[in-house]
Amino acid sequence: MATTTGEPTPSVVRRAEGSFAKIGWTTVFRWVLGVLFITAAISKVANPTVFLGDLFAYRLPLPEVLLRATVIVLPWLELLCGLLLFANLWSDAVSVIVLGLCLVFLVCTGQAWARGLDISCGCLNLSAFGINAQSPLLSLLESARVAFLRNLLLTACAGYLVRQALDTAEQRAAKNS
Amino acid sequence: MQGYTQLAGRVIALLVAAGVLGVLFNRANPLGIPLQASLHVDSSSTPVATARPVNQSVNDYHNEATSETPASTNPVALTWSEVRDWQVEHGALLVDVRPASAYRAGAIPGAISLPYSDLVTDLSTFQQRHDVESWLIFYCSDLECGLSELVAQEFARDFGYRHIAYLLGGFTEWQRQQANPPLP
Repeated sequence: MATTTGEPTPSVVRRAEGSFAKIGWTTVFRWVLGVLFITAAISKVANPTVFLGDLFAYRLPLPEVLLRATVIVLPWLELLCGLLLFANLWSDAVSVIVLGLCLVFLVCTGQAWARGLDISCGCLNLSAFGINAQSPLLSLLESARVAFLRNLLLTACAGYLVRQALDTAEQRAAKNS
Repeated sequence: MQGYTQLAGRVIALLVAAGVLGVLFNRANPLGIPLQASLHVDSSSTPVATARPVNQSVNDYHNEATSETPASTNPVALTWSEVRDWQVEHGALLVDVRPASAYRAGAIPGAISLPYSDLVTDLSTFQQRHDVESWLIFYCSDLECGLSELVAQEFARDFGYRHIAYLLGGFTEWQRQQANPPLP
């Protein structure tokens, strides 16, 4: 392998390219989603009242008991999914759940953005990590429109993982048959 | 087909595991939330849906709260005129729990900002300035936001504040009162 100037590619670069090819997009997406889901879960578990307040602020036409059940269960589902994504265990089921969650988040943040609600998305709740959420940059990151765009990317990543998982399952089924 | 059955089984197992973990942790967690709200603000019902009985005046409630018996740990829902009473009689402080950007855009005069999203980081400073004997009235944007009631509950139940209330209708109600002041 050589560079465009004709010089041979340094071995370090070759090794890096080889490592990335070995890791692949599937692993990168698993790690990105894993980190985000674990972070989101910890911040929600740390202060359920704040998370419930965030959910109320979305003004969703849902019964209050459902919102409260979401506050109790969702962080743990996110934590389990995040850990399993890292460990690459049950990747087919985890990918399906993560895609489902991302789609729900997409709808929630999308309707908040469309209605012009000035809310914190409640996605990561960085104040749980001692970070001042009043800073303009963090307020922007937590805003509904940025959360919606971020969720678009995450949904695409999760969709890719689901497709990979289903392809692998089909190949396995074909081998067995 | 067998692959899809296995997939569905794993999905269900993960959902059940998350549900069980969530319920167990919520029960053990002192900051855990009840599945059913203990207080509920319903715009179609009587404006005061709190520990204070409907037929009991707010002043009677305060007299009980300041007597020898311990104050109720439930926050009180106040109308704007009752808020004025609290301010005149007890020097109650209005606390705006909306996002800081909303507070900067406009707030009830004299109110201080304590955004609910920053409670964790700002709480200790707030507690140093306002002890548990302070009279506090929380408000958010309107009747449906629910944040002020949540924060009020947390202050009364978890942080030991004895004189806690929230403004029904929040900032929108205050704006409405300014536009259409009640007749004397």
